Amino acid sequence: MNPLADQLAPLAHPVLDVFLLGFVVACSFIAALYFLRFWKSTRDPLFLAFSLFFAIQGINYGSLLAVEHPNEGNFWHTVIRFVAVAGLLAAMVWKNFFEP
Amino acid sequence: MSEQSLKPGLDPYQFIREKIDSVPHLEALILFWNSRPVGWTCDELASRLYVPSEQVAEVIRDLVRLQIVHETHGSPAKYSYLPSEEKNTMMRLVDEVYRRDLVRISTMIHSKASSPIREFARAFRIRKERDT
Amino acid sequence: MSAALYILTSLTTLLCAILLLRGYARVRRRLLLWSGLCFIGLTVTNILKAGDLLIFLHTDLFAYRLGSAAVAMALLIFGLVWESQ
Repeated sequence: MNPLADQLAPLAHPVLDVFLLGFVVACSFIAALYFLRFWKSTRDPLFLAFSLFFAIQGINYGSLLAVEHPNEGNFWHTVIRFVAVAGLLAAMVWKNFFEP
Repeated sequence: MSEQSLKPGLDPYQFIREKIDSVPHLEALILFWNSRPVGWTCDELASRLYVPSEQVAEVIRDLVRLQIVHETHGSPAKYSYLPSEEKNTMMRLVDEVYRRDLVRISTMIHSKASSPIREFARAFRIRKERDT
Repeated sequence: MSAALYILTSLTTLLCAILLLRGYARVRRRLLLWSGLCFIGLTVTNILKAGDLLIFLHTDLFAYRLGSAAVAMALLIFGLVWESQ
């Protein structure tokens, strides 16, 4: 948990922030769907990694609605985000060193 | 020609599918192969293939990057086929399928080349250019 | 440290942006342009997040981060819808 959590301000512009949050979540899931489709047609795991990355981004941003101080992360937020990034890096490494 | 001793990796269709981006690429490649070791300038190639010069420049750049073609010194710059045993074997196969099966190859190239999605994936290949 | 994770994420998205924009410079496929710009935006978002956690303790960057994320995702969606077959 971030020890500075209490010092981060609560939402400064609640309505705008919630609107933008919803926008980002929706776009993230749409992007995830597109990349899922690309993966189905090319069988390239890179696209699966991107799909996962954006799906997780959508879930993470969406979960901020349930949190009191959305301006800081929490543990699971961080862990799941790390999985998404690691997946992307792993796919890029695979593509350059292991792809037949 | 020892076709019987083909390594499993020597599939001309796979070579074309993976390395050749457009029909002008293929035709330039075949031209370089059949006219080896003659060198061609960019303009000579453009007029021979009926393709604009900028496109030819890109084709040459791609073939040089694949190490199939190299620049021979002179002014203006000339380009010619860069031989190697493994490449020669593959080129003989490619030449053969080019004569025999052009329709299938063109279809393959066209369906491949029009995909932005494939280009997206290719952008993430930093290292793959070297192997034949 | 979650700030370290955001820095790692920034570097990853920056790498994606560089590869995509370099690819666009080579093959001129607009999908690469829009997605490259998206990842630039996501990199900015992540850097702002790290900054929020580490540096700017008296202001709230949340709206700016959401703004840059929203712009980034809008660019990507536009590119995906318009340019992919």
